[in-house]
Amino acid sequence: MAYFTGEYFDGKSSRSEDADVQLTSQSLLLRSTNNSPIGEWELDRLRDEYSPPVEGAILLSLAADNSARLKITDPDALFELRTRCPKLTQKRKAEKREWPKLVAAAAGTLVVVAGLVYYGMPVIAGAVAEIIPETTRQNLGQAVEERILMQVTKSNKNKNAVCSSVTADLALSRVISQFSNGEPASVLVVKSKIANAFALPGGRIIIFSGLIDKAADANALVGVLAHEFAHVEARHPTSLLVANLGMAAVLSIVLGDVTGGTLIAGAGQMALGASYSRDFERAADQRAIEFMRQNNYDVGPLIPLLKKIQKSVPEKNVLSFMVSHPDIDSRVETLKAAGVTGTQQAFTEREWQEIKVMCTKSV
Amino acid sequence: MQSFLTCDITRSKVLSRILLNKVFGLLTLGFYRFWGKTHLRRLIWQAVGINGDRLTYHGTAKELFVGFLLALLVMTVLLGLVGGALKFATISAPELIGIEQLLNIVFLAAFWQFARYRLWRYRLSRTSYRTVRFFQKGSALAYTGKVMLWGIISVITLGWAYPKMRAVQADYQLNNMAFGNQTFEYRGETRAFYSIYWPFILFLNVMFWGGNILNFATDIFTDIAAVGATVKIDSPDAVRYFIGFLILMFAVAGILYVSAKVKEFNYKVGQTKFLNAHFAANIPVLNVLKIGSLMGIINILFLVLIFVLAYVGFVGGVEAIQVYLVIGFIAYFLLVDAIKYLFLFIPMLKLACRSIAIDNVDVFGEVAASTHEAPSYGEGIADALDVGAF
Repeated sequence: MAYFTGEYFDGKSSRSEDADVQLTSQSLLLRSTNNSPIGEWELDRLRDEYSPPVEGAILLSLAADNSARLKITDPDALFELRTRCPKLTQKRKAEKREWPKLVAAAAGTLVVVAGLVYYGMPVIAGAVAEIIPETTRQNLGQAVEERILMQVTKSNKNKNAVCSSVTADLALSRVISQFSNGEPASVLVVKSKIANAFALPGGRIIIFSGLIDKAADANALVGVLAHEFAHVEARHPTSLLVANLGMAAVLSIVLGDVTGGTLIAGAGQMALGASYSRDFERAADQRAIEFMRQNNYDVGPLIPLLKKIQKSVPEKNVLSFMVSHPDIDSRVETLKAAGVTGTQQAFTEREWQEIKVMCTKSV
Repeated sequence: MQSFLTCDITRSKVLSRILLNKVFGLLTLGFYRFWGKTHLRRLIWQAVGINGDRLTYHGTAKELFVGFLLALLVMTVLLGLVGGALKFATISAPELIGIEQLLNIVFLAAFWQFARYRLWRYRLSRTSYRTVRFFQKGSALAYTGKVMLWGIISVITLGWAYPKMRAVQADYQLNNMAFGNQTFEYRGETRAFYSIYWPFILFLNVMFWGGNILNFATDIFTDIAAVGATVKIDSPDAVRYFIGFLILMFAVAGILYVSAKVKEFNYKVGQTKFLNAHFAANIPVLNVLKIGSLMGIINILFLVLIFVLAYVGFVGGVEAIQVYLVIGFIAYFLLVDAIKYLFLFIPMLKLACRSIAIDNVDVFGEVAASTHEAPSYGEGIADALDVGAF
C-alpha cells in the first residue's frame, strides 16, 4: 500500500484538481483533497497516454472512451506504477479488433480502383483516342518521332538517321495506301542496327533498317507494315499514351509521392501498360493477317523474320510481364494458323533491292 | 507578457523514427506512412508544452488510412470526371487547349487549398491540452472559395492582391480556431499585410517589367536563347555574369519572401486573442534566415557528396558509377527528410516556442471541453496530394 498525490483532470474542462491516490494491490483509489471519492482505477486497465513515454511523468487513463486523466510526477509513485501496471505502455484491445474491417475496406477500395484502372482505363483511353482530333494526334506523333530520331542520330554518331530513296519511298507509300483506304499514314525508315518497328500517334510508322536487313523476303517487311498499320487504324498508340497518363495519375495517388512511390508507380505503370499493349499486339497480328489476305500477299515470310529477331533477343526475360510483345512462339503459331494468305509479291524486284540498300545509299 | 511554450524535442528519437519510417515505407510500398506519420506526430506534439503541460496527439493510423481510402475513391472519380470533361471540351474545340490547362491548374490549386483546410481541421481536432481538444470550425469549401477568388485576382494583378488574399486566409482560419468551447479571436487588417509584403511584390514587379522592357528594347533574351541553342560560346564570361545575376536575384527574392513570411506570422499572432489573453510573437527574421541558410548549405554539401561519388564511380568505370549512384540515391532518400527535420523544422519549432508570449497564461486552464463534432477520419485528400507532408 502506498500513498501519493496526483493532478486529476475530469475530462470535461481543462481545470484540474489535486487528488490523493492510494495504490492497492489491484487498483488506484482516487480521492479529492476534501476527501470525497473520485473513483477506483484498476491497475491492469491503466495506460500511459504519453507515447512514447516521457521521463518524469505519467499521464494515466482508464478507458478509451473516458477522457479523465491522472498526471503523476512523484518519482517513487512513477517507479511503483511502472513496475506494477503490466499494460501501461500497451495498446487497448478495442483498437486491435477493428483490423478485419480495416483490411476489408482497404481490399474493397483497392479492388474498385484496380477495376477502374484495369477495365475502365482501356475503354476510356480507347474512347478518348477515337475523339482526339487528327491535328492533335499529328502533333503528338511528330513530337515522339522527333525524339526517336534524335536518339537514333546520337547513336549513329550524329550522322543523319533518316534513309530515303525515291523508288523505295514510293513503294512503301503505295503498300501502306493499299491497307489504309485513304486514312493518312506515313512510313519513315531510319538507320539503326536494331530490328524494330513502331506505330506512333497520327499514323506515323517508323521502321528501323535492322529489320529490313533481317528480312529475307519482301513480303516479310510487308507483313510488318500490315501489323504496324493495324495499330494505326485502331489508334493503339494514342490509346496507350492516354492510358499510361491516366494510370500514372492514379498510381501516384495510391502510393503517395513521399516514400519513393513515384519509382514504384513507374514500374507498376510499365507492367500495366505492357499488359494492355500485349492485347493490342494480338489484335494487330489478327488484323495484319486480314490485310495481307485482302491484298493477296502471303504473311508466311513474316515467320522466319520473327524467329530471326527472337534469336537476336536474349531468351525469356525474367520480367517477362513487362515485355510488351506476346511471346514470339505464340505469334508464330497465330501466323502459321492463318496458312498461305496470298500469292503475290507486294514489291517488284527492283523496288525490294532499292529498299534493301536505301540506308547504305542515303546516309 | 511572458513566454509560455516549451519544446523539449529529442533529436535522436526524431532521427531514428524518420529512418524507421523510411525503411518500413520502402518495404511496404509506402503503405507504412500512415503509421509512421502517427508515431512521429506523437513525438512532436508531446514535445510541446504550454505552461508545463504537454500537448497530446490523439490521431490514429487507422483514421489516416480510412481517410486515404475515401480520398482515393473520390479523387479517382473526380479527377476522372473533371479531367474527362475538360479533355472532351478541348477535343470538340481544340482552340481551348490553353484554357483547359489553365482550368486544370485552377482545379488542382482549389483542391490543394481544400485539402489544407481539412488537414488543419483533422490535426487540431486530434490535439488536446489538459484533456480538452482544439478545433477548426468553418467550412473548407467556403475557405477554398475565398482563397481561390483572391488567388486568381493576385495572379491577374501580378501579385498586388496577394496581401489581401493572405489577410482573408488569416481572418477565416484564425477566427474559426477553437480550444474547447472557446474560439480564438483575430482582428488583423489588410493594410498591415500590404506593409509587410510590398517590398517582395515590388521586387518581383521590377524584375518582371524590367526584364520585359529590356527584352523589348534589346531582344537580349531572344539573343541569349539563340546563342545557347546554336553556338558554342567563346567567352563564357557574359554567361557567367548572367547566371550569377540570376542567382543573386533569386537570393534577394528569397530573403524578401522569408522576411515577409516571418513578419506576417508575428503580426497574426499579435492580433490574436483567446478569452482575455493577448499573444505576441517576436521571431527575429535574421534567425530564420540563418536556419534557412544552414539547411541550404547542408543540402548543397549533400548534393556535392553525391556528385563526388558519381565522379569517383565515373573514374572507376560504368558499373562502379551505377553502384555509387544507387548508394547515393538511397542515402539521399533516407536522409533528405531527416535533414529537413533536424536542421529546419525542429530549430524553427524551438525558435517559435521561444518567441511567442502571452499576457495571461491561466486562460488555458479554465476552458470547458466542447461537444463540437470532430471529423471521424482524416487528411486523405491532403495525403494523396502530398500537402503538408509530415
